[in-house]
Amino acid sequence: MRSKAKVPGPGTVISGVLLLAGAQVALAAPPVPHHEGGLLKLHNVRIEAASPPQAAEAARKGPVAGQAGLRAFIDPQSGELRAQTPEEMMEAATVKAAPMSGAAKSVFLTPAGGIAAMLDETYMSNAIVTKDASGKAHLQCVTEDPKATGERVLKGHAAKGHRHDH
Amino acid sequence: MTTKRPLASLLLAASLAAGAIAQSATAANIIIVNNNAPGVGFNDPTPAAPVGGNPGTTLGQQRLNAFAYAASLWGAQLQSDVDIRVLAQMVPLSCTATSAVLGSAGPRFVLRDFPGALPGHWYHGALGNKLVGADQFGGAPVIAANFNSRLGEPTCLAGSPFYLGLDNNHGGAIDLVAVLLHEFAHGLGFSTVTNGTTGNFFSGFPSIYDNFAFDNSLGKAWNQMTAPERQFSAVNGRNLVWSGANVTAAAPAVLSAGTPELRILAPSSVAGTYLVGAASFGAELESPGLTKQVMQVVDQPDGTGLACNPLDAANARAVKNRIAIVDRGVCAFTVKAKNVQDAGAVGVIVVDNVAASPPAALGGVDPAVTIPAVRVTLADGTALKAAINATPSGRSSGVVARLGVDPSQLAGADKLGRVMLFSPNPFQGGSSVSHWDTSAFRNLLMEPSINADLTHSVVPPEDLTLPMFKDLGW
Repeated sequence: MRSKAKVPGPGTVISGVLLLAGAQVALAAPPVPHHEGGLLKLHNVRIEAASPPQAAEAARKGPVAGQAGLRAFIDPQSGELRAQTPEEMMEAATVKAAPMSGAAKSVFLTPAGGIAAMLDETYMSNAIVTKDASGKAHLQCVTEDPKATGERVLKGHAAKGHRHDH
Repeated sequence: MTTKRPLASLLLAASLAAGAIAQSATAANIIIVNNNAPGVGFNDPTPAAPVGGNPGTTLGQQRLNAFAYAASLWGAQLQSDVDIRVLAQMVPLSCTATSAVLGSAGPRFVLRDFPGALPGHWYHGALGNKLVGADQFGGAPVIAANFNSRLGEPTCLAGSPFYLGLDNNHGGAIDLVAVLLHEFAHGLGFSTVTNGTTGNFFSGFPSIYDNFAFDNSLGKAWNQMTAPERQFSAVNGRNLVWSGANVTAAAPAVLSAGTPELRILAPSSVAGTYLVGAASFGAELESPGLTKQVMQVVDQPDGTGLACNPLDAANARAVKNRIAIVDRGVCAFTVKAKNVQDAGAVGVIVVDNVAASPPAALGGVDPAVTIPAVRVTLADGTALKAAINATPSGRSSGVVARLGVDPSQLAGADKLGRVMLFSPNPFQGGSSVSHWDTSAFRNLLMEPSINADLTHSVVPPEDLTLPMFKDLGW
């Protein structure tokens, strides 16, 4: 068993594939996905412009998101990704998250007879990145009021680069 | 975070091909609703050189391609007769030169009590549509995704823009595709809308996610608990697991066998199995493990032991051929381990100095350290130290420990093979419950922290996200 910090890097993980693939793989040119004029053409993805009502709604409400997020912690000395320190765990716990309202912004019956609810802004999740003195990025996602997130970013409260777990 | 470019390119080609093949049999269509005005965001005309398989020639195109690529990876794995609409935009968000909001994504609707649903449970809108087989939201996007268009500008995390390549060859940069895969997963179903802080359901009803979030201490799933029980469960470290059959069946193919553990064999007052954080240095923990008495290093006036300097004669005599227990702080873990190792210790337990649980891993690198090391919580370490009853010779404590791994338990799963959910104490809003536990190994896409060896795969043997979606009804 190895800890997270001893996880083999991607090259190690897939080295067996490299051995099987041999020199042809090593010389393979980067693939050029099917595209038209620079835009990818994927069978199961379509891109549309937002309709005026959708744009207006987005402008009025902002994005609404779930309550989860992704974090990245990088050792400022080694530059390696590392586990969350206890201090960071405590700090994450004290981040003032906007309490979930527990109530729907709007509720309506759906064509199939179900009951639907639109989530309000208290379910918003924000991915935040900070850069420490050594230039390493730290990615963190929190659920909180967007205004609070902005204030925290501007105050630099999310920065953890000075911290070294020992 | 390095990747061999040729292989990354090969994998990119393979994934694109797989997406094309899978399309006819399984793909869900995903529609990205571009909410940017002309000239900005996804429509930014700034010229850009193609990067990492992204053929876009403008910044806007490359952003849109990254979104489309992440969406295609999900679409190739999901089945739905209803298009999944994602309202997406790149907009200026709060930032400074050293800190920025990257963005956000998540469900815009939840749905319950539709035909085929588990009665009285909220489903994320995209999943509800899939199960009904028809759009229930009048064509409105069911997922919202908002990301920062200014990232990398001089006043917005200068010099650190998103990596817009599609090949996972991001180095130390922020890989937009990986972030999108993670955030899209939350929007598709990998989250509960139940409030973990209060334990209250959303609008009085549990999420379908709560049907599978099972607490081993309480013997109940979240949808069976009272609100106070859910409050307890949300911080019941490594006792909250996912009970879904698909994830449990897939876990052995994804997670490594062997969970680090510290087992105290004597005295009976502290006997039992303790949670530990494994180390990134020193000897690997093994089975059956190392069984020795535990001796405390004491080199501070307050009776604690930091082991930041070579041990004096008394401490060296105490820890020789024993498992040393030291306190966290002042110097690196590797320094502590090396000092007790030099004194003859055969293992080391580091007691945390912050009251958080479960214990974090011990970081650091020093090839000269060859003994195993673990971290225990402040509470556990305090109890162990209190149980030490050193003899006058200073060679015996009465505390006997076995430091090793349980080979029968998957890393990140419980004894029954059910994968753990993230439930640290204290509660972490935005992370707790709606992610896998960080003890999972191999590392998983839906952990709360990003790891260096993530691929763009969401399926076994690389990942467990799709099996979870199958449990939810996808």
